[in-house]
Amino acid sequence: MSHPTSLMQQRPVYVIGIGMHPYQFPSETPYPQLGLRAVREALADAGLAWPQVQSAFVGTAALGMAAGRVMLRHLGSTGLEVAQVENASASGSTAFRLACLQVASGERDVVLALGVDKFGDGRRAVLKDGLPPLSPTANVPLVKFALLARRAMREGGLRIEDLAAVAVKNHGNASRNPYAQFRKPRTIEQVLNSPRIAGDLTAMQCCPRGEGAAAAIVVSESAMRELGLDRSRAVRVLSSVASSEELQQDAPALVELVRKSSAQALDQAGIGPRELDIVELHDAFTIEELLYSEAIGVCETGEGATFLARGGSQIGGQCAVNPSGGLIGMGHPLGPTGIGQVAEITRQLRGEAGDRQHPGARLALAHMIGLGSVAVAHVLSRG
Amino acid sequence: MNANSSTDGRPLALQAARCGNCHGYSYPANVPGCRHCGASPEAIDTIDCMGAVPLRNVVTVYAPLAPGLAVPAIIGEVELCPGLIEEVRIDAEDEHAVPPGTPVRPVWIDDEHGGGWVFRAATTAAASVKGDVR
Repeated sequence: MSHPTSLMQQRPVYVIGIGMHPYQFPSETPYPQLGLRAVREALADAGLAWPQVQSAFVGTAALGMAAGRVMLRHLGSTGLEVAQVENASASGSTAFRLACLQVASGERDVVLALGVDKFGDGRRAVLKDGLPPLSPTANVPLVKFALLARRAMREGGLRIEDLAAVAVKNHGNASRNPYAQFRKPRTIEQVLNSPRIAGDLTAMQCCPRGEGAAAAIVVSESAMRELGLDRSRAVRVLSSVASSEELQQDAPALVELVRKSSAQALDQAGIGPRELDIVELHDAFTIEELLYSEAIGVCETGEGATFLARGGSQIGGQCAVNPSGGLIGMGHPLGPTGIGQVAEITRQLRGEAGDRQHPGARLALAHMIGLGSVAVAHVLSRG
Repeated sequence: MNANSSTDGRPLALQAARCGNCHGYSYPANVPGCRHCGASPEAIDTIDCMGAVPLRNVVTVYAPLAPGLAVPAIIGEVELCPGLIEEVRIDAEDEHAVPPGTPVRPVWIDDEHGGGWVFRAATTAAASVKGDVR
């Protein structure tokens, strides 16, 4: 069996255009309006016309069958390839990965990755597998993370204030992000006094339900040259990795999944975790950011909380973690979330993130988890 | 009638699956393959899990996060069989009554959703049987 080929061994792939529909609470807005706004913004950002896009991968977890073509026809029926991608929370990340692989392989030169979602009924295939769980919460991520947080508090000395500090940082970052669902800074007291949901997790430590859209257009070197695109604003995708959970005896399987997938992505990109300037990760619940920061290696194991407390993960710190506001602050509409991470990273690496700009951002990791569990990771660099 | 069911259809024992190939455990007993080695159902046996096991972790769930979940609910983790950690419902006054390490035992409870297994502190399981519990 041949060894997997990394992105660096294929044609270079660049993000040339990004666009967003702000994440928002569930509304009556039809999904094409969300998605088309993001696509039009990405086209304008790239300096491309719709007929120049050769294929589109549409990530969505809740819209249902064939959302992509129904929406994209309003941009013109150009005959492009359209495929819908569902991978739970990692739907957008997977759409982005497929777009990158298509350009890297040489099959296409200009590919759109679009994530779009409305808040759906939350029905999951695992509820139809004919295997009743012992607890009705067995497939509810929030409860798993509440249990994980409790374990970290009992065994690792984590305090509830340490969990709340993640929400304070990310709500603060989101307050400076015009695409974020939450736009108010919060205090430790506000976070801790919000309604308890499960264990030590309060409402402000959990991502909201919502909707929105995010788009990224990736291109080849030759497309940039032949179409006269602005190379100075291009962000290179150095690696793309996807994997799923393995059974673990000791460490939490999900944390191990993050550790292995991020290590693989960084290895393929040829960099170490301490070289990262930006990490966008799956902080659906506060405990995740602390554990995943350690697993990715931006800080030592067991030091996630102190890393945050001393400013290491703040904008302007060693490595800005979730400068967008993350899933807790910016929102987590599922399909768009992973591409929203890429959009934020692209903005940061270009130096276009305004008052939430991380100074000198050069290397970044987008890391996403999906129900199941699956992981998708991308490393991006300036220029 | 299932061999693990009483005449009224209620299960006689909480069961898990044990793989004859790799000896790994899976839940529930009717899994379509071993989650460790992928062996087919023909290679899988069922085993009873009615003994007391230590509660590994526990939290209270305050929001109705799943259909059929009456809140507040106490949810815990137990190692049902070696290497098989499952999330379970805990039947206790509150989570402080069942700190991690408490031996707990499965008890079947009938309810409007068709019934299910809950875990109770092993020392009180026998004494707390009510009319709807077996």
